[in-house]
Formats: sequence, C-alpha cells, structure tokens
Amino acid sequence: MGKKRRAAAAPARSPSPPRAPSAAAAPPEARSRRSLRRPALVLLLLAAGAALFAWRRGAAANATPAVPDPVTPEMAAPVRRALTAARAAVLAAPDSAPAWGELGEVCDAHHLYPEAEAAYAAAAARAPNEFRWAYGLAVVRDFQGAPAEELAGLFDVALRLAPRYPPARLRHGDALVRQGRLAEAAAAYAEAVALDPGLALAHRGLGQTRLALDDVDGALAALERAAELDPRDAVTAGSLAQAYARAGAAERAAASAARARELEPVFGLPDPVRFALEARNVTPLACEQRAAEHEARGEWKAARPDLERLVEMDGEDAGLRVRLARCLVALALRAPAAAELARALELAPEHLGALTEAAALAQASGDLARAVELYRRATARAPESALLWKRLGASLGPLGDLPGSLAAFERAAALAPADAELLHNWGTALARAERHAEACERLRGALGLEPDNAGAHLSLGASLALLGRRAEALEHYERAQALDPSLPTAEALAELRR
Amino acid sequence: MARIPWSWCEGARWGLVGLLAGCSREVGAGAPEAGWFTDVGAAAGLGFTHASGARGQYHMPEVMGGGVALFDAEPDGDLDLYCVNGNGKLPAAERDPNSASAFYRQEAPWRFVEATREAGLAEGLYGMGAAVADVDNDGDEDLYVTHYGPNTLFRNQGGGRFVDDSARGGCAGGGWSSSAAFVDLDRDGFLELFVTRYVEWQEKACFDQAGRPDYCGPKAFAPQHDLLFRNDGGSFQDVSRAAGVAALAAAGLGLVCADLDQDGWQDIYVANDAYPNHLWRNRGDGTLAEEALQRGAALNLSGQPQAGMGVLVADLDGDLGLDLFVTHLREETNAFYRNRGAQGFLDATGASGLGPASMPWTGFGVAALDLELDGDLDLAIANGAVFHRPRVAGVELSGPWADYAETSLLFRNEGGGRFADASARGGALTERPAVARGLAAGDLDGDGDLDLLVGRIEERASLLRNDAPRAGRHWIALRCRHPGWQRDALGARVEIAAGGQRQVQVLASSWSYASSSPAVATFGLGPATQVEECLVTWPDGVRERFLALEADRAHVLVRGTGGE
Repeated sequence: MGKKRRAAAAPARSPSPPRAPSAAAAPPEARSRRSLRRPALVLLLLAAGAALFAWRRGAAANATPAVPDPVTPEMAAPVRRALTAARAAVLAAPDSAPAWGELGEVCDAHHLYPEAEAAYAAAAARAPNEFRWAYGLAVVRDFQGAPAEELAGLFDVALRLAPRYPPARLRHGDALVRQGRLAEAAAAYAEAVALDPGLALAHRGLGQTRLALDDVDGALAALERAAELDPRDAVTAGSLAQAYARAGAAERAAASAARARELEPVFGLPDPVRFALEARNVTPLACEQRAAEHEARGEWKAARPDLERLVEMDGEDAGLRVRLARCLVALALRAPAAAELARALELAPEHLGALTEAAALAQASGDLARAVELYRRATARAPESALLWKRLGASLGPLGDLPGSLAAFERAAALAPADAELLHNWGTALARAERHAEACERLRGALGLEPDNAGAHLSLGASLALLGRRAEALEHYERAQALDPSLPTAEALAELRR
Repeated sequence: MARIPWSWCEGARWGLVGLLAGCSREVGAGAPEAGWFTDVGAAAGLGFTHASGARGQYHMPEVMGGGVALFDAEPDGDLDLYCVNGNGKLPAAERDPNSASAFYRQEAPWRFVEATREAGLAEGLYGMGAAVADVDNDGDEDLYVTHYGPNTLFRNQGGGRFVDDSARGGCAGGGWSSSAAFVDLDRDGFLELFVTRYVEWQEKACFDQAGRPDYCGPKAFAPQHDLLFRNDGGSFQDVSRAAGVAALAAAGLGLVCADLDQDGWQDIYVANDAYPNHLWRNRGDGTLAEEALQRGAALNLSGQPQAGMGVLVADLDGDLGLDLFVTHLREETNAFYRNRGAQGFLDATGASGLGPASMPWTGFGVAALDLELDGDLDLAIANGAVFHRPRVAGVELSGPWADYAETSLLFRNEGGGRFADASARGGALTERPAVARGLAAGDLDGDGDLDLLVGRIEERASLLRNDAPRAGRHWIALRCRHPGWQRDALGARVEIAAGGQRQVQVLASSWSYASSSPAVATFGLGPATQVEECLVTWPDGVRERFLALEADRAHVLVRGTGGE
C-alpha cells in the first residue's frame, strides 16, 4: 500500500507544486519544514474528516427525529383526532418529553407500534429517568420481536427506574420466555411474586417456566397457588393439566383440562401504567367496552366521553343515541339529552328505547302532553310493559283524563300486580275519581308492599275520612305525619281529633 | 496498518479519504448471494391468479383462501398442480361459473398446461384448500377440495380425469371448511377423512385497533367443530359425533396426521385459530380423545392460545421424535413443540431461534425441507397478513392488499433444534412481499431437492424451483406402498441411517396450510452415498427393514419386500 519515499528533488508521478523549490537545493531548516508539511497536511485533513464525522454523529443524536404520522383516512374519526392532536403537541414542542411520550402512548394504544417506538425513544432520550417512556419502549419493542440483547437492555433500563413495579418484572419474564431464556424468566417471575404475592399471573408464569425446566414439583406449587388466587383462569387450568400429566396424575390432568375448556383465559395483567394507556384507545370496540362497563356501574361521567365518540362514529345508530341520552339525563343535562332523543326518533321513529326515554324526559320536564303521546306510541310497540302503562297513567291523570289514567293503571296492574308505586298511584287516581272504596283497597295494597310509604298513608287517610271511617283515617294520618312531618297533615289531623 | 504515503498528492488523497469518511454512510456488506429459489411459474405456463372476490366489504373468507396441491394426477411420474380459487359470490356460498380453481398438467419438465375443464375439475365454489389421496384404493389419486360451503370430492377415473362424486361420496360436509387430511384411523386399509372447520361467519363490520374497517377475527363468530368421515370402502359416513370430534368446537385451520405417541394408531393434530390446539389421540376403538392440554401442545409456553394456521410434523431437532411446528399471527411467535416422548411436548420456540424473528409476520403455509442436503430439516414459511399492518418495503401489489403483503421466511437448521434466519438467501421465496397462503413442496424436476408451489391472494401463484447449492451432497427419496391398497402408505414412519446419522420422517400428504404435497420422504444425506438401513413403521405398527439403498434416486418401498 505505501509507496516508497522518493527523492525529494524529483517525485516520479506526482506534479510538484509550481513554486516549491527543489528540496535538495534548500537549506536544511527549509528541508525540515517542507518534510513536515506534507504529513502535517495529511494529518490535518484526516483530523478534519474525523471532526466532521463526529459533528454529524453528534448532530444526528441531538437532532429532532421525524415526528411519526400514522394517520390515514380510513381510521375512525376519534382515532385520527387523537393522533393528530398528539402529533401537533410534539410539533409545537419538539423538545418536550411528555409530548413525545403522549404521542407514543396514543400510537401504542392503537397498536401502531413502529410509530410508538419512535415516539417513546424520543421521549426517553429527553427524559431518561421517566419510567413510562422506558417501559413503553421495552414493551413495544418486545411486541415487534426485538432481538434478545436489545430487549434485555431496554427492560434493564425500565426495571432500574421502577425496581418495585411487579408488572414490569412479569412482562420481562414473558419476553425472556419468548427468547427461550427460561431460567432468567423464572427468576423474573419469582421477583414479581416476591414484590406482590397476590399476583396470580406471576405465580402462573413461574409455574409454566418451572414446568419447562422440568421442575414439576415446583411448577405444581406455583400453578396451584395461581389457581387459588384466580380460579377462573383457563390458562392456569390448562397449565395445571400439563403439570399433572407430567407428574403422572392422569385423572387430575383430565379434570384440569376439562375445567380449562369451561373457563375463559385471563389475560389482563393488573398494570396501571398499561391500563391508563389502553384508555387512550378510542376505536369503536374499545369505546363500547369501556362505555358498557361504566354504564353497568352507573358511572355516568366516565361513560359519557366514550358514548359521545360512539355516536360520532356511528351517528345513524338510534340505540347509541338513546344510551347517550340516558347518560346525559343521569348527569342532569336534560337539554342535550332531549336533542339526542329527538335525533334518535328521527332515525327510528318507533325505537322503543327512544320512545321510552323521551317520554320519561318529557314527563320529568312537565310536558305531559308530549309524554302521553310518546307513551302511547311506546305501549303500542310494547303492550306487555307494565312500566310504560304505569307511566302513561301517571301522565294522563294530571292532564285531567282520569278515565284514561285509570285504564292505564289497570293494564299495568294486570301485568305487574305487586308494584307498590303503581298501586299508590292507582289508588290516588281512584280517590280523585271519588271511588274511595277501591282507592282504599289499592292503597292498602301499596302499604302492604311498602309499609313506610308516607304518601300512601296520607292518601289512604283521606279516602277513609271521606268514607266516614274516622278512627282508621286518624291512624293513617298520624302515621304519615310521623314518617314525613312535611306532609300537609295538620288540618286533617285537627279535624279528625275534634 | 498501511504506511502513510509521503507524496503530496497521495497525502492529499488519503486526507480526502479521511474527509469523505466523515461524510459517508455505512457501506453495505457486499454483493448478496444468489437466491436459493427461482420463480419459474410464468415461464412454465402457470398463469393462475387467485381471485378473492374482495370489493371493500371485508368478507372474512376473502383473506383465508389460497390452498395449493402438488400431486401426480394421471399418474405418469411427474407432478401436476392444483391451485384453489375464491369467487365473487360472497356472502353467499354459491357457484360462480366465471371463477374456478385451476389444474395444470405437467407435460414436460417445467412445462405446464392448464387443463381444468379437460380434467373435470371445474366447479366455481369459494375454495379454501385441497387434500389428495387414493380414497378407493384403485391406484389413482383423488382430490378433495374444501370450501366456504359444501366440499367437493373429485374421484379420479384414471388418466387424470375426475368426476364430482360429492353426492355419492357422503363427505360434502358444510359450513366453512379449511384444511383436510386423509388418514387410516381404523387400520382397515381405507383412508378416513378429517376436515377442520373454522367459524360460523356472517357479514359483520369489524375494525382494527386503529379504528379502520378490517377483516374480523375468529372470536367474532361462533366456532365450528371439525368433521370426521369414516371410509367404508370408498364411500364415507359422518362419524364426527360418534368419534367425539363434534364435542369440541374451535376455529380449526391446519392439521397433520401421524402416530404421535407411537402406539401404532394414527393421531390427528389440529392448529386452531385463537383457541387451544387439539391433539386427537386415536384410542383404536373408533373414538378420539382430545389431549393437547395434558400433552403440552395446546398453548404456548406462557399458556396462551395463539392464532394457529399452518402446521407440520417433522423431526426438527434431530432426536428422532416427531415435533410439531405451527405458524401464527403477527405479534405472536410461530410455535415449535418439541416432542419429548412420554413427557409430552414442550414449547421450545424461544430457544430455537424461531421466535422473535417471526413476530413481525403472519405465517400460513410451511414446509420442512433439507435445503442444503446436510441431513437436517430447514423451514420455509409463507407469510401474509390477515389485518392491516404497516406497509412492508418492496411491496409491488397495488390497492388494499398492499397493506397485507408480507415477506416470507426461510430458516436454516443449525442442528439440535437451533435455527438461523436465512431469509436473505431465499431468492424468489423471500424477496418480494405477498399475501401468501398455501404452500406445497415436491420434487418437480426429479433432482432430489424439494421445489415449492405457493398460493398468493390476488396474485399469480408462484412456482419456485429449488436452486440451493449442494455440491458434494447426496439425497434419497422414499415412497412406501402397500401392494394390497395400491396406494401410498400415508402415516408410515420412515427412519434411515446413513453416514453415521439417523433421520426420520412421516409420509404425509396433508400438512402446511390447506395444501397437499406428495407423500414422499426426501432426505439429505450429506456426503453419504448410500442409506445403510431404512426402518419403516407401517401405519398399522408393523416394522420392516430395507438395506443398502442407493443415494441420488427415488425408491418405492413395498410392504413385504423388506426384512425384520
């Protein structure tokens, strides 16, 4: 490679610099200087190259990475909005770790893992001590099949930031299993168990890896503990079937296998960090699942955002609008609820849920004529509904249609004879129609089901008084007063005691 | 280290090199090796292009079809091709005269002629997969095609002419069938038919995790139980309930048959999608017992059910046990269940090197074949997504299917159950992303290595000639025939000893995904020029020994002509 040093006076192939004097003729000092100049120039150029290289690497490290843009037109509108908003936050503050992290979480929640990875990496670079970004990066790299060494490094970082967070240990164990590093996986699961002895999934993972390591007794111990902690888990039952088979307990193996087929697998790891992230998923399915859970628990404030998203994504679904209306009513937001119900009835004029809710809302708002119209339509759709007949009866009475009210109550009672509220309302209506004997019978029926119904005592007392049964009337008025002193019993009591 | 040149220009040149080094990008590793597979389909006359019938409504069968078959229809000693097609009638399970699966007859080496109608194989139902076997022991291979809807049994009348015998055959089934396999469960010489079935699909709007309309997953519908038809001398009777198969419904996609517990009775392993896999142990009394959970082959090592599409049974770790390999969904790993004999199966995916490399992909068809003829089985996996995914580089497909195209994989067996990703050498198998489904393997040119036929949704099927380098290495191909049955002894276990190494394979035509391959055991022998001993365990458990089999040729081992 190297070329021989040539006589300074006559370089064979390379042109001499035009003004350079012959080295041979130059004084020794000059020759010395010239002899140093060339290697110095080479060194200078090499140093310049090295500096340029280092600068480019440093620049790359500090440069703002490209902001992922996974939005496509086919995505649901709320998803596009969430991604666009998160992206805009990053563009507005490219050095903000929380902005990058939020973008990562929104992408992660929607399984856009390459984009989540880029965002988490940028967040972690800006906030290396923030567990959420390091953990998110490790998890999404695991989902994408990252090589073992890389994954080990990522989980190492996350676990150092939160050494006492059992779900991270457990996920690390899962990743190690996928890499085939079973002894390390068992250690990770054991650490998760030590941190949280009640974590069934950690016992389960420990049992499974022990079984793979041929520690059948250890596997059985861990899996049986997992089954004690969560007897509903099909995965534990299935793993126990395998462990019992390995231990030679064929009958127990078969029983566990049969049980596993009856159960459902429990996958949900109690991982608050990932739970919070999953709540960011605003696809129809995720919104529906969350909304249904909140509705079932009466958590209307929590249910509202998801119901609104569902209506946005499928505005033609009358049933969704009814659910949203119900939620808004529970939150005392009557006007928006009424708007949703009106739209639902435009979409499906005979939708039973819409008719029922709209009628109830009208009734509560005092628009009894509208309530009656809607209840009539609803009872035509569902003549077997005692509730609808009861409410129709309750709306007709104040409008002065006593016969209609009584007929509706009678229909309701035929369908649901043991309804205290119905009997009370029916009795009151009968009293208003001056059919006091029948009124007393219905009101006694109501009190038989609800002995402490102050209003029923009051109404019964009034009917009894009008029938001339003063002593009984007094008894019920006194009972009404005792139960609810705010009721207007004073004048009647005074009259009956005279 | 080089001496620093002292001349002016040379110094400048080196300095410039140093300067440019600061500006340069990483330099690649050099020119790639030649690929091991070459797509010769177009040149060979294979013009079949799969039609899914997709029109933007995401009908689930559209994303699940594409089985293929390699078999000698005539028989004339060379392999013919069958490619299963969809149609445009979904959601109805009706015939479409404008769509038909395609049959290609091999007229000369690597020259195929389309002969679907001539062979009597035109039908037009929405096809899923194909299974091939001689169901009436008359010496001709018959063809069973699974559908969304009733299945079809084409009975070979001889010379590669088929008739639709579904009505008389008694094995049409119904619902949504995926893979099928023929296996002699009762050892009477006639092959039973096991059909995996998927789900009770109906039109339904589904979305992916980003809220985009997408194909539904199997859990959106009720699963269907598999079907078992007993062969009563060429006609079939549904014995699903009597055998116990109807008791368990799961979304079945792939299956293999082999004597997995070596008790002399053929068993059946079914890969289910999102449900635990099934291992139907043959009790020998006409009933099957499902024991995958107890035997460790139902779930992955974390105890979770996975997707489960393609499946094969092969000795992947060289310990003479029959292991199981199942392909899975993206973000899951493919599963390698190591057979540990009495201890059952163990998910050894992680330690094998087959795990993380498969997580970015969705695997369907799969083949175990000795690419280098070095005595161990490598793996070829046909990939293609079933849900939207980030677009892969190099996709040539246009339209919506571009978001489902994936790169197929090639894994080289390094011995002892360890595999290395060799996809860079895959050539036409791995270099172009596609929505690949069925995969069949057979020696189309008689040179001792296995070529591949790959079905691809909405694309021309690819016919891949095996061009893997093999200088100095030898091979042997073995078929096993029962003279009384006039057919291949499906389920026979073939164990050879050559050059100090022992290997084992099972003769099977149904493995992979919804596909059928010739029941030939092709072994790589390395430098050995002879198989010193070949031990055949016939499907009924009888063992026979054949000695001194010459390498580099195909042999037909006939029952009764060997020794003890």
